[in-house]
Amino acid sequence: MKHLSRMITAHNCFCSFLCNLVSLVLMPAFLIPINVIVMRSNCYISLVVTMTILAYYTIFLDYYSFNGITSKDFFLGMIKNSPYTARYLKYAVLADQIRRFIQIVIPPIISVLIAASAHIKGIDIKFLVFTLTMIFLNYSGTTCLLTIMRNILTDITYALISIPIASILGVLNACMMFLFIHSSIHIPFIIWLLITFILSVMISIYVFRYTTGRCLANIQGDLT
Amino acid sequence: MKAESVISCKNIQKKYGNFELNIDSIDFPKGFATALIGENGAGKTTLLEMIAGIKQIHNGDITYFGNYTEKDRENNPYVKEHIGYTGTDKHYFLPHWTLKQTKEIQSVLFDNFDGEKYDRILDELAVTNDSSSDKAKKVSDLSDGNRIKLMLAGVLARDTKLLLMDEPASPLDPLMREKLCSMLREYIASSEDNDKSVIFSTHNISDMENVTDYAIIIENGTVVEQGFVEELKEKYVYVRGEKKDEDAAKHILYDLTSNAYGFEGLCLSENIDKLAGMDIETTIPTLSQLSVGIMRAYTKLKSHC
Amino acid sequence: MKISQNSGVPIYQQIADYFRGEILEERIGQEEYLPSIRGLAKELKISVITTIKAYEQLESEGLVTAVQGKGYYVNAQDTEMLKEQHIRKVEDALLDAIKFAKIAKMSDSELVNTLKTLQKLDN
Repeated sequence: MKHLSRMITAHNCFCSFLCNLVSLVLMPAFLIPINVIVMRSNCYISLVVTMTILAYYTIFLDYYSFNGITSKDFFLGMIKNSPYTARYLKYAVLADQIRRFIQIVIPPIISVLIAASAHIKGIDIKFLVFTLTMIFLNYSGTTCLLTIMRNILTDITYALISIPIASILGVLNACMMFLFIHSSIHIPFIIWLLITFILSVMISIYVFRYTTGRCLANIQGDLT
Repeated sequence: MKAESVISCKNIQKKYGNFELNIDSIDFPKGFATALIGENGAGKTTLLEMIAGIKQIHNGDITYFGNYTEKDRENNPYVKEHIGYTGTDKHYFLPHWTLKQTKEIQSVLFDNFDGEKYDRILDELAVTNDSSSDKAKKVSDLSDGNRIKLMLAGVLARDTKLLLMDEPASPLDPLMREKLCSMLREYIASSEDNDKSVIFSTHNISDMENVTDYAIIIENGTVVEQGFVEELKEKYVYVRGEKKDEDAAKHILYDLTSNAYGFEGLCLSENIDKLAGMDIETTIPTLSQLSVGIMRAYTKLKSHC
Repeated sequence: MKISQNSGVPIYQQIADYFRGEILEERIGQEEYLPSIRGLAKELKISVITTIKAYEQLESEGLVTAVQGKGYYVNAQDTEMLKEQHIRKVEDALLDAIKFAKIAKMSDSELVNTLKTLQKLDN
């Protein structure tokens, strides 16, 4: 409990109340109804579009929260005076990864639950696996991309680079849909779930280490 | 006078482009307030940041509280737990933090942070009052003066043994400067063992004179004079004289400024006999006269006379 | 105690004068401690080092003794010796007065009358 409250404090130190509100409440409130409505005509395409919007948003949001944390010019202010700087940053980075996962999980899962209870056509085991695969794919994709972006602090560069970079995820999402539904592909779809899951775990661990390590190196003045 | 030291710096060296900080030895006395005085760019901030551990790479050694090294500072929470640092960095608090958050964050960052005391000090300094809307106020909406108050409340709400403050007086109004001095004196008097010390840099020498025990004057990255203020006031004499004696006095005085009617300046007490026969008036220098005189002797500013 | 920042008399001197008076007039008794250095500095809004200098001056005059870690306590005062010291100061001042009276060509009775008038004014 103590760890959880410390994690939330450390996380909110970088991510404002407004960012949390938009990510965890307003975005789902906006995406879920649209997703459910479009799912009536084609649930796969609807989910791909929803997840792509979510991925754009996630990368965009990072600019207002943790962006720049690994760059050389980032100010950590008071945090540097603490005897527990390293522990604090670990709390913050870990909490950020958890928040991002939740932020990506909420819209598709709730949409699918609503769709299933409304007996929308096409909600089967395969679609459920597809949903989970998309969650892991977008989580690992955004985490990976915004970690690269975090080394860039200037606003204009960020805006210019983030759009094409987020588009990569849109393309990947569309490809994943083909891998699931195209009749010519005979690979068991469960493999994609496994791959994206393992990818998520590996990227989470690597990004956590990279970000905290670089922050500390920055404080010690070793960063070039 | 001899005093134990709270921080000792030995052979500190750091280069930045054209600027070089080069400090042979400073022992900040324990139980006293030390002022770092010097021109902009003299190296005061760099020195404070090095002691605080914000800038870590340099040559030489810093010893904390008598027996902790810089490595200990990073590995043993004791050192940083007992140092309260306030800087001029605008991002000391990130701009989107609310006042309530500054309290939560500091209680996670420091073990001995007393949240109630923090609120009490903020109240006392009129940054907040009891209304809850104040607690939701963002740090970015605060004036520079209030931001300093917020930092001050943060470090005073902890159980520290040393305050390191970079230019705490600059953004404050005269009333609040007076209050700052009182708070620093109170801090120093708050320990039975006389082990609470303050190190601050300042340009507002006369406002801070009554809370300055030890003065360190830094110019161009080196210490040009240091000592207990009362001892410096014995070491130097402030001299005012007539125009006719100016040329003769020029060679004897440590620093001299001239005007249409006469001259004034600092003279080393040991040289005062050499002024015999001149029509002069001598007084004990104020800390401000002392500092300005010494700074002028080393400045790179071009003088008018 | 009245401390003046710009009376021309150094602050430490003003503090030393005050406590000297308190001790000699026995308002602070023997073996009693003077206020703590940092506490006094806080109350008077002056620096710690100025207070220390004032106390050190009293110590050098033999009025107080410093105890490591405890502060300064008031010595037992030898009243006979103090009286003698003061008589010597009176004699010195009077000798000065006589010297200046000669320069000003004052008569002896004029000098004595001046002393009497001043005494009346002081009372």
